[in-house]
Amino acid sequence: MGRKAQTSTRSPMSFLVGALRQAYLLFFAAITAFPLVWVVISSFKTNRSILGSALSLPDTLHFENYATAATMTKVIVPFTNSIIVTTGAVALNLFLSFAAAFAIARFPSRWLRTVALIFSLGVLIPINSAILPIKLIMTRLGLGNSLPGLIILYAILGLPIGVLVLRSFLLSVPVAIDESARIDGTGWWTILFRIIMPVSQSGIATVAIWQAIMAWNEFLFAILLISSEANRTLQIAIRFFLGMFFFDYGALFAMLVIVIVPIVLVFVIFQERVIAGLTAGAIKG
Amino acid sequence: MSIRGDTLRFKLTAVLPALLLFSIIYLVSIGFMLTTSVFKWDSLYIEGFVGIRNYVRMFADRVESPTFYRAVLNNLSWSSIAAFVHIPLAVLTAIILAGNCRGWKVYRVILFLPHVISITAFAVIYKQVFNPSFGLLRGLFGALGIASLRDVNWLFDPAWAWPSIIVTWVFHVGFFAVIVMADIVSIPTELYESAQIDGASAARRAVSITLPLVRNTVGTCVILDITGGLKYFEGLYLMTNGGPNYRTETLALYLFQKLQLLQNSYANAIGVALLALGLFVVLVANRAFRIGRSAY
Repeated sequence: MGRKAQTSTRSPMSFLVGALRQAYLLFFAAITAFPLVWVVISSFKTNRSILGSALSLPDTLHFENYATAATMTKVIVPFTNSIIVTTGAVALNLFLSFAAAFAIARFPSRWLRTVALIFSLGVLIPINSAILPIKLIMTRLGLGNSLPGLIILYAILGLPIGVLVLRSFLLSVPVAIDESARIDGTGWWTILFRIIMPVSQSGIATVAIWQAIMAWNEFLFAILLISSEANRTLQIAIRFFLGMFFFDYGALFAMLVIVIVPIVLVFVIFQERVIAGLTAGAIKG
Repeated sequence: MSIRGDTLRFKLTAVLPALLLFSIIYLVSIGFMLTTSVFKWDSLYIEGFVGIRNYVRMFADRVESPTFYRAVLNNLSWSSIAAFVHIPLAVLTAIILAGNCRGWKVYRVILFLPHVISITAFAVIYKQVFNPSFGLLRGLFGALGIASLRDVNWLFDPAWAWPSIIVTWVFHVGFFAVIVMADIVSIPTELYESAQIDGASAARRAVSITLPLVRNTVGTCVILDITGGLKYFEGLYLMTNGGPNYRTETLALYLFQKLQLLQNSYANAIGVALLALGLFVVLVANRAFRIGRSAY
């Protein structure tokens, strides 16, 4: 990101302003990070030391909390489920929203503008108001208690954002790119996959990131639809873990660390991509 | 094969799958919800037409209405805090981050973290932070020697429960700060330079140049924040489940609770209320910010 011009003169006033800015950011960073740090520290303490003093440091690093947490929760099953659901939902959503967005952006006709308007309504509607009908529809279609059901539902729930962001991105792709191919008689689907998709990578990345965060973190529809333990995603599994560790807080904190660390690592590694992707298409289009 | 027919077929095959799936989940389900909200449906089968009885129960029943009104009040409280506290804090953070201050990249990462960690995990964490026997807050207030605050049972005290819930999200400004910041850094530098030559202070430049130019983006953020708040469910479900004494009830939660009791048509009436509230709040925000062309 480009930087702004700023006062380079080092007057006492500008020093004070700089200190105030640092204090402000430090406050927000602390209030965000402190609970997380506290969870990590507590995950290495014994139950007795956790109950005895909230702020104390662990006497030694009690890794046995992690062993207890991993074996008791069989965390690998919901973890795998979440990866399957997130990957599937992102792929399905990208395919559906890219095709629709390209048609809407490329052919400005009245009925396609109406279609775009219908999708944009979806962003404004609190769709969780209709959880009962959605549950009935999914169950009736045989997609109730299943991972494919969640994949399809999450892909649909992400359509409004996907279509709108990709549409505004594709509006900036010059028409000339596909016109020569069109003269050669290439079909539209070939053009979409071979010519438009390769030049739209940053728009696609934006939408993929939106959808992945949404699908990975979704809770309400998962708990509504999934009834068997084998199909639980990570988010709803957390709820059941909560009851499991009622008297073993060390293991509870270890479980939280196990759940949080992978996504935090992925974010810290890809942070430039995540943030750039989020802002590139989300607002300006 | 004619070029025209080929193009038309592409348009249909590209748009219809997405439109069809979208319609099933969004339009059909909302239509179904509106319809069934005027029937009696407390078991597997829809039993008969009852007119506005579910709505009367919602608005004017001595047992149910207090919970319903508390939920609406809490949703409105959440929306106002989102618009008047949360987003302004995010904008201020964005202005500071865009001002090239030391360590802005590290701050950006830390402030963004709550958006990648799930609300579910955060809810469990905050449940422990607020725990009255070993929580982080008890430890902190104990260390500071403030006994009156140390012994508060944050999530179970009727006076503290809702403010505690607000505290779990209102300081998480990273997501919107990053969006607004991207808009700020795209403002041409010359605008600031000429203002600086004219002797305008940093605060003055922020108010007169930055804010008007990012109005659209900020308005979009307000709408996203408010609709996000109306959808917010899992945190409340896991931390308080509406308690104590319905103090932390919201429409999304109330709806889910009635569904668990198999009061299907009443739940759908609550759904209609949630939908109406959502559209109302978005319209108000749209008006207030005079949002023109934006991505949403």
